[in-house]
Amino acid sequence: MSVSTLSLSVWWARLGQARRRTFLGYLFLSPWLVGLLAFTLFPILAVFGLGFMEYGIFGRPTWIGLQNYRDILTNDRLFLTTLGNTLYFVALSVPLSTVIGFLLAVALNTRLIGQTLFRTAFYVPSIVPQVAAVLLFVWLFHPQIGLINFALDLLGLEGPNWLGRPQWAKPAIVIMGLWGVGGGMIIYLAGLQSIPQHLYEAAEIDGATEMRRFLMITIPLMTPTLFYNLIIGIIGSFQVFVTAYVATQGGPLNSTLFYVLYLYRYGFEEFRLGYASALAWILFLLVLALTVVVFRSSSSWVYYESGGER
Amino acid sequence: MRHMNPIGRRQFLRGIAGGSALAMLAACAVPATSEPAETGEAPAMEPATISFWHIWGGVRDEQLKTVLDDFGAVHPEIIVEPLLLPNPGYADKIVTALAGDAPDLTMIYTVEFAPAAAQGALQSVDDRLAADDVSGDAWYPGIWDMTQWEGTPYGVPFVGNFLQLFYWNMDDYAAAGLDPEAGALVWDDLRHVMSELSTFDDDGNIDHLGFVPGGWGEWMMGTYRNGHDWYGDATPDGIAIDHPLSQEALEFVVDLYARGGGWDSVGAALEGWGNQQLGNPMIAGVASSIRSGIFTVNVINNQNPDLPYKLGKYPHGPNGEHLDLIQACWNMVIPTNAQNPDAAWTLAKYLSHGEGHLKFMVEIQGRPAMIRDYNMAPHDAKAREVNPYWDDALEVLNGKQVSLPVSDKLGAAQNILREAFERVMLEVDSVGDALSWAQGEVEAIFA
Repeated sequence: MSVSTLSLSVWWARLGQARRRTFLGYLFLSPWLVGLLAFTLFPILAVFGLGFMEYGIFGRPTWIGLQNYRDILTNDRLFLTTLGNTLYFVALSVPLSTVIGFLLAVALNTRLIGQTLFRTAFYVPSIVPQVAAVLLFVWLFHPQIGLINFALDLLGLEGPNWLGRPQWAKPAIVIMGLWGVGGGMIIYLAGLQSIPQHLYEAAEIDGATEMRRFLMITIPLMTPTLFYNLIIGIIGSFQVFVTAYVATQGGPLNSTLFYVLYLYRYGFEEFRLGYASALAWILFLLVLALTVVVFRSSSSWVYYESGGER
Repeated sequence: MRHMNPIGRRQFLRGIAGGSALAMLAACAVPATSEPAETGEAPAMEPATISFWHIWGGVRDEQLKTVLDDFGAVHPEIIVEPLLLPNPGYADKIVTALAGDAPDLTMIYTVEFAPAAAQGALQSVDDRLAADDVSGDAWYPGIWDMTQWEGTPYGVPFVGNFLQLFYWNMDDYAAAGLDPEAGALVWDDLRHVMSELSTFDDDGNIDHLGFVPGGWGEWMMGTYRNGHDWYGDATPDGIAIDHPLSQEALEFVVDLYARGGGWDSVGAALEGWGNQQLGNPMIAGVASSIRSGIFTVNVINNQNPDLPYKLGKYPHGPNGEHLDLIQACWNMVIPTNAQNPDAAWTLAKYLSHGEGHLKFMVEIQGRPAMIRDYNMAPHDAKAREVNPYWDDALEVLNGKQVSLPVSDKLGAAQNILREAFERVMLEVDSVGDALSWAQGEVEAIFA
């Protein structure tokens, strides 16, 4: 046994059981910690710093203070457009995916024939690669040979040029986003199944109708899950990118130019990474602010069963 | 037993950070055994290994390898490690590489070339060309311009025949009453083709198009083929988006779309054909003419060799003073942080203006070389065998070339022009208003 191995063994023996456990704990945590530091925290801080610089990826960054932020807020003709597009998407996509995901989960939590098949069928789309799904939707939305307009035609309605007209392109992107609603549905389903059955039984004995049980037991006990999905949904919706990048490239007439797509253009098409970094931080602050507001509001509508805290 | 404090979070993190730093330092340290042993003999010459990144996928990957094998036979002192760049994803790969661990030699498109040259990521090849006594005159002028950043060459052209050719189906054109040998010479011919040869089903959907218009690019092409250069000398004073010749071109394209069933119908038809994997609509038989590059000859040879087609210049506008537009170019460049720039230059020379270029472009692919002389006798014999329209292609290459400015601002300017075009096609703005708006925006970009 070498001297270094021996001294390591002595050191290990002298640590004591409690400290050995602590050390091992940190050792097991370290891959994650290193990943967090190197691939999340460091980029976040680097992007914050780059927001104050002129940086074109190939050269050295130069300090320009708040110039990027000034330009964004005063000079950038598309900043408000992209922000508006993104808020439109968030405002439509989050409530729709929440309601649809939740109702699907409720429906699939009841005893019905082929329950597992339905659960799988609704969940699978959420794990289909997004690009493949978007390409499929481009076909479905085709104004002449697409299935969506074909279905509208059967109902006697004239389908629009979904992705070719500014007023229809955003709703089309929202509909594409609903394709992945099964991901949220699975979380709701898990939440529904964790509601204690005895609550329903007690309510039933007391004569509560099914609707009353849904409103007074299911909904309140599902609020933590709804809250979680809401936060994740808001953060994810602000980052909408792939659908617009693949289906419309931000058009027509910038109607689907969402914030992150705009940021991407600056960073990787115009190579203005400093400017793109400033845009990223503005988005981060907006999402943070909205998340804080939702968190604050949660005390008035999220019910945590343990301890009865509201 | 000696009392020891438990390890705190800070201590642990400090330890991890310190350990990582030491490991990095150790990795960066010069190896102690790098000195060659003194034996009294002259050290054997180690071949230089260079990395070469390119975009030639499919059958051309193999073709390039044969050319690189020839290079290896002539230059045994250089080992080339080729890498086919991903497509899509080429730009991400090349941009991140240029910012960090760069290859010795790479192909790069104009879009990425301009900012890379502007920000010092590429080596100037001015002195190397001078040392080899090679002049820019050897190349076609518009293509040579694509290698320049502020008057200095930062690369050599590899493939830049982005001159757009006009392909037409001779039988269809004869049916429309046009001379099948001449095709469409002026815009009015194209208007006629669009009206006569476009057909629709009972629902008004397009069955067949007389010509496949290419969106806002058709406006750009039309402007230059009407004798006007949008960017002039690429200064705010030299920019003329709202020029009457540009306006004339935009109105022509609006009319062209209208004759083909309108913006929505044409877009839907092209998208539908795309979904059906029809590829080039003219080759697939659903269109009578199209604007495309020289490689389309090879595609027709492979996919539909019986197609009765011909190629020539894109029709010009009523002004008559037409320009031949070079939109972009694939250059070969040596990054600033290349490990073996001298060996990389030897390969760049071979492939861009040496024997390798002649073999790869003209003899194997049957497409015009970037070097004027290589397209002439006696070098052109093999190319004429595979390309029946060799002279027509050369006529376009020998036209009055003008290139888009090599500028890191061009992408932003082109986005404005695309938006102006959409405003007109979606009837949000009149032609005049859209052009005035675009003029102001593009001026501001270049200011």
